[in-house]
Amino acid sequence: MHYIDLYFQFIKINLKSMVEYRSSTISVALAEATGFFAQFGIVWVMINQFKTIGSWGPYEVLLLFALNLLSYALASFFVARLSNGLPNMILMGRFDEVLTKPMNPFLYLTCSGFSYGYFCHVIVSIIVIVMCFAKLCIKMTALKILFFIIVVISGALIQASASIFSAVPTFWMIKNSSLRSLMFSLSDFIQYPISVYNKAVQIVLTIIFPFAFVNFYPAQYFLEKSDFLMFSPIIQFLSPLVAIILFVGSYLFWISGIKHYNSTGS
Amino acid sequence: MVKSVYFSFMKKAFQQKYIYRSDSYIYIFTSLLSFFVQISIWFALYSGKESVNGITLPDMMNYVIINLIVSSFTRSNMGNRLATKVSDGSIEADFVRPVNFKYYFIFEQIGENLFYTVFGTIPICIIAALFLQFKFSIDVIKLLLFFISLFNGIILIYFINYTFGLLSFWFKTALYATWYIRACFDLFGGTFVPLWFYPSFLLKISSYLPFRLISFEPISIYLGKYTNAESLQIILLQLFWIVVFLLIEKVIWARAQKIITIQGG
Repeated sequence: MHYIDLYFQFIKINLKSMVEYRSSTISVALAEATGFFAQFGIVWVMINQFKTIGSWGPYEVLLLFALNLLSYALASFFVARLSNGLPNMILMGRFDEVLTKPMNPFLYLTCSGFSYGYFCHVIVSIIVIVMCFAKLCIKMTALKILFFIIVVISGALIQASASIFSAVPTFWMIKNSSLRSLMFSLSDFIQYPISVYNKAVQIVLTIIFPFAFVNFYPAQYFLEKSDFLMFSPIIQFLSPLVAIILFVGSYLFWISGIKHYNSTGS
Repeated sequence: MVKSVYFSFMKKAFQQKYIYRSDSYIYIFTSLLSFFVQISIWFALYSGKESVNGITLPDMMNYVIINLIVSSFTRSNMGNRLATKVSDGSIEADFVRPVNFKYYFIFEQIGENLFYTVFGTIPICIIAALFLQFKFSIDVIKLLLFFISLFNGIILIYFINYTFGLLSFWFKTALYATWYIRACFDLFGGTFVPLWFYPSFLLKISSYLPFRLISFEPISIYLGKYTNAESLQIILLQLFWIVVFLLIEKVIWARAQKIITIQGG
C-alpha cells in the first residue's frame, strides 16, 4: 500500500517536470512517434503490396505488430529509466545514490523513472488493434477481453524482463550499449509471424529468447489460427506463465548484479 | 598537410573501434540478425509468386545484399554527437581547435564506418553472396555510375545529418536528430522496402525528398533498372541536393555562431 502511494507521488513529480521542460518533452514524444509511424508505414506498404506473409493476412500481421508495440510501450513506462539510464548511472557513480535510498533500488528506479514518451505508442497501437479486430470480424466476448488484457500484461512483462536482462550486465562490464541493440534486433523478429523463419530461429524465439509469446502464440487464439509450428496448441495460453518465470528470473539476475556492483567512485 | 590531419582523425576513429572490438562484434552480430530477418521476410513474401511489379526474388536478394554494404557506409550518428556536445558544453573545445569542425566530424564518421564495413558487412556479404546467387555486375560503365552515385549518396546523408545536428544550437536539448532522419530515411528512402513496391502517393512524396537518393537509387543503378542517361540524371539530382544542404548548413552555421551560449563546459 505504501509503495502504491509512493508510486503516485513519483508520477506527480514526473508530470510536473514534464510540464516544466515542455519543449524537451514534446521533442521526445515527437521523435518517438515519428519513428513509430515510419515503421508502421513500412509494414503497411509491404502487406499492401504482397497481401500475405506466410499464411498471415494484412490485418493479422498488423495485429502482431501492434501487440508487440503496445507491450513494449507498457514495459517502457516502467523500465525505460532502469534499462536506458543504468549504464550512465553506474559510469557517473550516481548509482551509489540510488543504493542509499530507503527503499528497494529496483522499485525505486521503476517508480521514479516513469516515462511519458510512450503515450503515443499506446494510443496508436490500441487504435490499430481495435481496427484489426473490426476488420477481421472478431467478436469479443467478456472472456476474450479478459484474456486479451492478460496477454498484453504478459507481453509487457516479457519485454520488461528482456530490458532488464540486457541492462544488468552493466554491473560487470560498465559499457554495454550493444547488448541493448542486440535485444532490440531480436525483438525485431516478432514484427512478423515467426513461421516465416527457419526452424532453428523458431525454436530460439520460443525457448531461448521467448519473444514469440508476446504476440505470435497468443494472437492465434484470437485469430483462430493453428500455426503452432512444432509445438502443442496449448502454447497459445502459456504467455502468462512464461512472463512470470522470465520476470522473476530477471529480478534475481538484477539482485546478483547489484551484489557484484563496485562503485566507480566519483 | 591539412588533408593529413583529417585522415588521421579517420584513422583514430577506426583504431578506437578496433580497440573496443567486443562492443563492435555484437553490433556486427546484430546486423547479421537483421539481415537474416530481411532475407526470410522476402522469401516468405515471394512464396508462390514469380515476380511482383516486375521485380523477382533474385532481384530482391541482390537488393538486400547491396543494401547491407551501402547501409554500413551511410551509418551516421553525427547529428546526435553534435547535439550532445552542444547540450553538455563540450563543443567549446571543438571551437578552439584549428580544424574545420564539419570535416572533423565527417572524417571521424568515415573511420568508424570503415571499421564496420571491413569487419562486419563485407564478410557477411561474401557468405550471403555464396548462398543467395549474387549477380555481379560486369558492365564497367554501370559499375562506375553506381560508385559515383554511392559516393554522392554517402556525402548527402552526412550533410543531412550534420545540418539537422546543427539545429541543436537552438533547441539546447539533444534533439533526437538522428531519430527523425532515421525515420524519414526508412520510410521515404526505400531501404527496407524498395520504392518499387510503394503505392503511388507515397512514391510521389518520396520522389520530392532526397532520402531515396542515398541508397535506393544507387542500388537501382547497380541492378540495371535505369539507362545510363537516367543514371546520370540521378547523379545530377544528388549533386543538386548536396549543394542545397551545403547552403542551408552555411546559413545555419553563420547564425549558430552568433547565438551560441555555452552551458557549463
